[in-house]
Amino acid sequence: MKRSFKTELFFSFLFIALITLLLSGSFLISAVQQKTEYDYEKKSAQQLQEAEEVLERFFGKTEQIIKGILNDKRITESLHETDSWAVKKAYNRLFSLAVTEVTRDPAVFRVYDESGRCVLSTAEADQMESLPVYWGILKEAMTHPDQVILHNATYEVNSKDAAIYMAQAMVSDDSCIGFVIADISDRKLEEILKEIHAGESEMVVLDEFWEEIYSTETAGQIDLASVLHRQKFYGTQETRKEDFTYYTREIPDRGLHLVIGKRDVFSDSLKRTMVLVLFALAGGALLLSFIVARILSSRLMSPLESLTEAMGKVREGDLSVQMNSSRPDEFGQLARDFDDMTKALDVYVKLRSKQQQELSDSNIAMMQAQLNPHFLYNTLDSIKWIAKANHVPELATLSSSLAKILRASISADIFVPLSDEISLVNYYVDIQRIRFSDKFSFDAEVPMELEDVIVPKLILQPIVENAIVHGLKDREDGYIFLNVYEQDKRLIIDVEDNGCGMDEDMLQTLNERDREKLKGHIGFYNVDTIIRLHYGLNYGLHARNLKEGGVRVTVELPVRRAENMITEDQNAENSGDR
Amino acid sequence: MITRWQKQNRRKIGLTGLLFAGLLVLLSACAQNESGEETPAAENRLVVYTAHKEEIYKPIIREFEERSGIWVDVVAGGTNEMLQQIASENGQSGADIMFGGGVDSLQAYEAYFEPYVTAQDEKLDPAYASPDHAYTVFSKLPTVFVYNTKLVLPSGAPRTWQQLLEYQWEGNIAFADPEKSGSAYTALSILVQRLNREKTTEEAVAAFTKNLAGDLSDGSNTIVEDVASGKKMIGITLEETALKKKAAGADIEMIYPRQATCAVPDGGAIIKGAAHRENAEKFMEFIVSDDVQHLLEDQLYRRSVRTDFSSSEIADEMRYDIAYSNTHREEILQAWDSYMGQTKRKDE
Repeated sequence: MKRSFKTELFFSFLFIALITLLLSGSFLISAVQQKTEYDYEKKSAQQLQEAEEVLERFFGKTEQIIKGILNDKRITESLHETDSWAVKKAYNRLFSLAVTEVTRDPAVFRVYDESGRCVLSTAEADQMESLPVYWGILKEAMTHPDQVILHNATYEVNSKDAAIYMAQAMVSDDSCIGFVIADISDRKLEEILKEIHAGESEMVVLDEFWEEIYSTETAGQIDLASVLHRQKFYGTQETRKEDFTYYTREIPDRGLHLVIGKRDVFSDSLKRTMVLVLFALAGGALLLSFIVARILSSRLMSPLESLTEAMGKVREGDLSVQMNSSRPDEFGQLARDFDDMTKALDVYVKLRSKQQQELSDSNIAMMQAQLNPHFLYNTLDSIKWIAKANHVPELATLSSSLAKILRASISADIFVPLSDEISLVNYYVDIQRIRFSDKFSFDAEVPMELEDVIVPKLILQPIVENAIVHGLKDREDGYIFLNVYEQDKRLIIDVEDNGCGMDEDMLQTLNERDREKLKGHIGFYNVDTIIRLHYGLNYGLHARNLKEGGVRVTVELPVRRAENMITEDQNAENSGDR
Repeated sequence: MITRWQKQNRRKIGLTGLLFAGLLVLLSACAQNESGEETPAAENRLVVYTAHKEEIYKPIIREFEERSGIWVDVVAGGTNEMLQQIASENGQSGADIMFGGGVDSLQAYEAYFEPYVTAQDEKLDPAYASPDHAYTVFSKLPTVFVYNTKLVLPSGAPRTWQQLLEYQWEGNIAFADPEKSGSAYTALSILVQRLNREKTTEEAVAAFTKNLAGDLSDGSNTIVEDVASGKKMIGITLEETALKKKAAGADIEMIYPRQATCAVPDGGAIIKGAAHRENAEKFMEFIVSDDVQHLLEDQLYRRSVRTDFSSSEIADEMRYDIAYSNTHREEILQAWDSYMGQTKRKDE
């Protein structure tokens, strides 16, 4: 009981603690994760936008320079010029156009003639290599002479460290006379994008076929561009680098894609750590639940335990047990109730044992009185027969009546019908009348319907005896009247005499049942005690003097008949057994 | 009473477990992040296996994408590696094109290729063409001698394969391991074929390995390095490699072996079961087109396979017997193995 209660408490606490902890923990983790991802996406989108802006600004400027070069007559006219003065003039124009405040370290600008031969170049120590006009950038520039072409230069032949070519063909009279190419190197892109990726993230610039144009150093190390290309090509996620998230942005006008990769701050290992912490907390909750369950259960159990202990003592018969709890709660109330209950029980048991003692005492007295009853009975029987034989009828009546009284008194029956009790009184009166030479008369009035009422045996004889011996002792015309009736479901038996009456002290003593003072009237007292032991304090004897002289003793009994008697018999037997 | 309680409790634990598992799923689900990118449509895709070096395939494929609008995914590797992969995939390959690899190798795997006749077929050099068009030739790679101009006089340089066996070249020839390098095997095979009137395979290999003196270059690229650096006087390599090195300013010169310059072409083929057949055909047309063939000789130090291109003509060209080379491969390499082992032992 105690164990299971504690375990139940423990699991209840654990359940509540774990559910709360795990729910809030998990939601916290996923909230943090989503917030981090959201922030990252936002930041990356911003970075990508910035990247696009700076690139677009740079491309726009470069485009402007290319247009400037195209529209410069000195330069266009110098394409086939061999005169060094003219070439120098052209160079002058070229540098003044190419070097601006925006592009302090500008892209390399080259001018090619219609056969792809490099004529002018702003690069230092340039090899001035030609480019095939049937291939790559020049071919494309020739196909779209009206616009500046942006081209992935990484795989162009002779492109050296160029990452992007921007080019436009020079057109004169509907025929191509040459090309202007801006050669944007890796270094230049690095310089432009450095501030945006700030070295903390991987960044890749891809062309319209997701082929690499530029990679930051870290992106190059893991060959991110080809990973992204395969991913794009096959639409698979399998090549995705762990702990990295990629965000892309397209620059559709230029056919470029910008990709930025962020190392996940909320990496798997961090997530694992958080889950681990969550588990550790769950472990803590487990321990805490255990401790709290222990404390609470012992707080609950200790009053219950002392109550159990007190109950054990009560069971063993110690009714003096008191818990004297000072707790203000329900347990304190329970303890106080228990204390009250044991007190009440103690009083009851004491009373009960006292009654038992008294019953035993009267039994012992009765037994002593019944000494050798069979011998007396047989002797009386003999006397009766001798008296009959010798024609002494008084003696025969005396002995026969005495024998009947004796028989009734030694019989095991405790209860007898009222009719029997009345005849017993009659026998007794017969004897006494002989003894007192008919100095009194006796009458009994018993309604027929009350004759079968069960009463304790020998309760009337002592009263009648008292009336004869004490009340009528000095009278020659004594009269005793026994009246039986039912009142308020009680059997009332009045025994009246016309004798001298009782003095007030005696009456008081009798009605107060003071045993010490009733020493001389033990019969009277015994009748009262027997009735009260059988039926309780509401029944018993009362005596009062009558105005016209004499005493009326009233016996009050419950009206009980034979069928009700069985239990009473058993009760009586049981109480006799103890 | 207790049993019921335990049952309830077990249910509680089960519930807790379920809840927790659910949360974990929620957590891991959050980790998934779709890129949401669209992949190129199937009719705009092509998968190419290539044995070419990056400097060859990158510009060509890049230009192909640019012109056709077709997305290309390239898987690069050694010739044998790629061919073995094709064989193992056996028509179930996601790949459409085998680009590169000597025609001798391609012929050995012709069962895995889909015959295709390009529009330029009539103009292609017929010498090494596939009889049933299983593959199409792409570029010619003549095997040449190189010598260090500081160490060897032009007049003293070897002109014929026989001259390589002369005593003065002992320990001075740069050569790669033919068991590893395809071009080195081709060179060794030419040597054996060239000498087989006078010497048996064994004798030829023995004489050659004697001159190598047990010292080999790490690979076909290092041959030219070794000659340019002066570590070796002469070397046997591909024209392309030599030209590139020469263009970079190295002190080397080439010699086309007299009467016996073999130019084994590489080729391209459509892989059987190609998923993007139409695009594969476009690619085959592209690699023999004017522009690509022009680029080969113009920028990539290679020779065109087109007879209408001047570079396809090689003086003193001798036909390389692919069949012989394939059938005698075991024998030649076995001889190589045993004689190289001997010279090495001598060294020790």
